[in-house]
Amino acid sequence: MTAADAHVRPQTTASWPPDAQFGKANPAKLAMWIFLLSDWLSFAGLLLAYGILRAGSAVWRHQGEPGLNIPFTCLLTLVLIASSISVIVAHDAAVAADRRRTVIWLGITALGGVLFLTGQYAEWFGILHPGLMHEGLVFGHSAYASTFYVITGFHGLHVTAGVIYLLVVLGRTARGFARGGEVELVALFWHFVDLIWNLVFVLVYLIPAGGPG
Amino acid sequence: MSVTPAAVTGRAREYLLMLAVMVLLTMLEVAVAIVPEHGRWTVVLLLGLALAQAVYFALYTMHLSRETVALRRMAAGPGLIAALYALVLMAEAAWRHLR
Repeated sequence: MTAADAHVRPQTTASWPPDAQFGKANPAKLAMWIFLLSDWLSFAGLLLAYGILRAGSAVWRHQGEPGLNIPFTCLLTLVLIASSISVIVAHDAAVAADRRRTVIWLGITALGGVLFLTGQYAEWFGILHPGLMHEGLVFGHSAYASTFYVITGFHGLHVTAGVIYLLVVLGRTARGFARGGEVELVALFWHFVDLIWNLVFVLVYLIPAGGPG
Repeated sequence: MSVTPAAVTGRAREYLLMLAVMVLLTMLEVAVAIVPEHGRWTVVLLLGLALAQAVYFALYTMHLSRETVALRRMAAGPGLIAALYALVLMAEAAWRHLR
């Protein structure tokens, strides 16, 4: 053994405790989860601000301001829930490598999103009946009006982004360019949009109906 | 990947069950909000139902229940942080009210 060899650290095998999860994370999925969690904190900030304003107001809905249409919004909620199931079916079809079925179910999901957005447009601006803006719910006039438009508008932007994302993945799947995990990622985003809507529906629509003010 | 007809039927049942649970929870929420007898408990009941629905969504439609423990912990973190923040705010409001 030479002097140089004597200074070389002996090669040892690292002995870590067994970890069944090591190396199993999918980077794309992990990135989507990190994005969703940071996005959740944005929504949490808005909903907490809403809660603080709501709890601190002696009168939440002022005279002349319209109430929210719960049956109509409940219908929109059910549309979004149904679209959450259809995107699971699309993911299932993608796992089974059935491109045609994947495209069909992604299309149905995107249609659900478009229906929801049309409903939200009708609620804000009115289509067959006057919308909330024409009935006296004006942004900036009260905390009730401003929080309503900011929270539902921010969520509506997410639904719009989700519909575009769904259509992009649909197009890529139809042309055979989509990779296996793409449908799973768009499905995760869509479920998140649905999850947030359920919280918005309860906090913004249902609590004022049953609570004080 | 080949999928057997039994597996397809099993999944269809699973999806229908998910749909039924979420529709049921939504209807319960609407019922609690509309029925006036609950009084002050309306808000507590609604928040509990909303939380239950959110957890169900995360675990089953977003498949967190089938994910690794590390991912589940990572996903739970921001939810708990938001809940803690809400609790701190409520405690602070109660303290101001009592002073």
